[in-house]
Amino acid sequence: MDKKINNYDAAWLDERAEYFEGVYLDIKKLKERSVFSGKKIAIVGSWNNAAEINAIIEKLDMSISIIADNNPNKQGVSRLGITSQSVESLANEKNIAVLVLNNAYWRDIQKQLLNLGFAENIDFYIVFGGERFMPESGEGKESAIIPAELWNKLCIYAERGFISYSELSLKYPGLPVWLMHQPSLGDLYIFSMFLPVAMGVKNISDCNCVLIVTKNSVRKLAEAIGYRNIVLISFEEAHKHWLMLLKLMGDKLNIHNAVYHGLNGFFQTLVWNTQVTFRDSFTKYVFHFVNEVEPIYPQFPKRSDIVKAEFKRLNLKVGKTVVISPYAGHFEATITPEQWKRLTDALADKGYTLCTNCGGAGELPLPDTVPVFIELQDCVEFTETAGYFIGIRSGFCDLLCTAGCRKIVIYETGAPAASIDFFGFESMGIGDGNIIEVINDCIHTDELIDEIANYF
Amino acid sequence: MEDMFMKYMAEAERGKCIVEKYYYRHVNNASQNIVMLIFPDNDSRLLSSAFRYLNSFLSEFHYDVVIILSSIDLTEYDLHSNVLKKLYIYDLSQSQMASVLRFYSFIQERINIRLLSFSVPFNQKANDLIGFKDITADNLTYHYLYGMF
Repeated sequence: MDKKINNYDAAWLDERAEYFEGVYLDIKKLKERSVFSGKKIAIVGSWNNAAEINAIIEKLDMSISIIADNNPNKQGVSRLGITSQSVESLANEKNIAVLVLNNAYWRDIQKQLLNLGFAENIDFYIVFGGERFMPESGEGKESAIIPAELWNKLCIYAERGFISYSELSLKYPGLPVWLMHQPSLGDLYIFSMFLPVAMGVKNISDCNCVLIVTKNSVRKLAEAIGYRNIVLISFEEAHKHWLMLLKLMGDKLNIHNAVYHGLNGFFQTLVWNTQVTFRDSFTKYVFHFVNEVEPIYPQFPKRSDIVKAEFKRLNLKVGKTVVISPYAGHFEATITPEQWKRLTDALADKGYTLCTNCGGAGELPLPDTVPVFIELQDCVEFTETAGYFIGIRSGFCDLLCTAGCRKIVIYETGAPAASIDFFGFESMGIGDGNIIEVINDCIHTDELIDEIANYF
Repeated sequence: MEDMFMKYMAEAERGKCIVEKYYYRHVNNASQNIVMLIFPDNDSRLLSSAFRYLNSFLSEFHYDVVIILSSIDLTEYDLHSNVLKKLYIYDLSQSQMASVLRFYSFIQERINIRLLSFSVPFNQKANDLIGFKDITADNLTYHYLYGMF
């Protein structure tokens, strides 16, 4: 038996880290072969991972010049400050090396580039991110619908999921189980606004159910807002075993997917192609409410004495402190350290004390700010005591959506995890209506910093 | 409890056998690019969208042969005249289709098999999304069921 130790606090999921490490090695090998010499680098098929790919390429002392995508909604918009373009338009570019980074649609992109006159391994390169992520052996047009090895693996996963489900059913007989496999605070918070409505009760602590989570911070949030039966499992177990069980026979069990993804990609395709929002993903796809319902905002404990003592200890001014949250679990904001410094200097000049919300491993404080680790149960109390909050769009912002303080949330054009259309509080109709929402197009970031400073 | 698991696992395995039986019947040429489409629902919104975009789908993904497994009557769509690629249609009983759906729900998102339904995969259905905001049967079919942009 494997004795793998699960890290329930990991900032990045192991699976993604392994993929990006593989991508780094693949691109490094290409660089060593001098395939990029004198050429502009174009990337195709990696819209969602563009920031990570950009970081990898910069780490190799190169830069991305072109981002291309086949989805018309992802053309002509800024992504990391680069105006994206169609794949067809690459034919008009000279001296480019195209990196294809999409392990689902690589065949189609390959055919498309060949039809456009590009030569594989001369003009374009398919990057899988290592052997583990390469297409399964035997998966070709003449192969079986599903290779035997993969089929056997899925059957084992589902069986393991069923064993775990059976054990949980014995421990909590008759209770519905909600599988919150997404390790994200925002997902749990928005889900929890609507769960009481779905279960016909007034608040979370009245919801007689079992909640499965996959990260320590999400467990802590669940505890803070009143869940009674919380089970922490690894992300891998949730994805391999529990979701395979749900795919096989979810309609026959008393267990539900708590988010819109994991079982199929229906809702995901709507994100880019329709006006749906993150809120809709819960109300219409997780809970299937026929009519729109009012959210019931989860309540946090009030621990003002503890928070005020912390302010005193840290020399932060009550009512004149800005809590800055520059980190998110699922994307890295395109704001440079120098730009953050300009903002913190401007705020300090206006007499504010400043702190950085350092919630996770590797989240360093911004220069000249006090690092704070805010207990999730105190997040509203803490920011209300501070008086001001600036944060890039993350799940932490969801938790503060009704906090009584000035709140500025920064979105990013082209970044799926920080899209104002999908995650915007105004577009979702969530929060107290007093959230200032600004967009970083990654081109006019300096002006955005000035705009934010002017709110103070 | 364990019997319950075995029952649905067996149903999925039966579905796998049915799908593979028809698939292998037409795998006689290594250069062929075959796709299998499953039609279980007599939903006119879905069917009209599905057949409107079928030729685009087959051409965009370079399929030469399409195998349709259906438990509904498709004669009114005159597919043999309208589909531009080699087409084979097989009728399944409700019981056979139930097994095929169990199999598909389990494996999902394989490259050469697609389910044309808003009601399956099990557990999270999409049919009540139609009409919400700007969601239509067309965009669900085009973007998700066919995977086109």
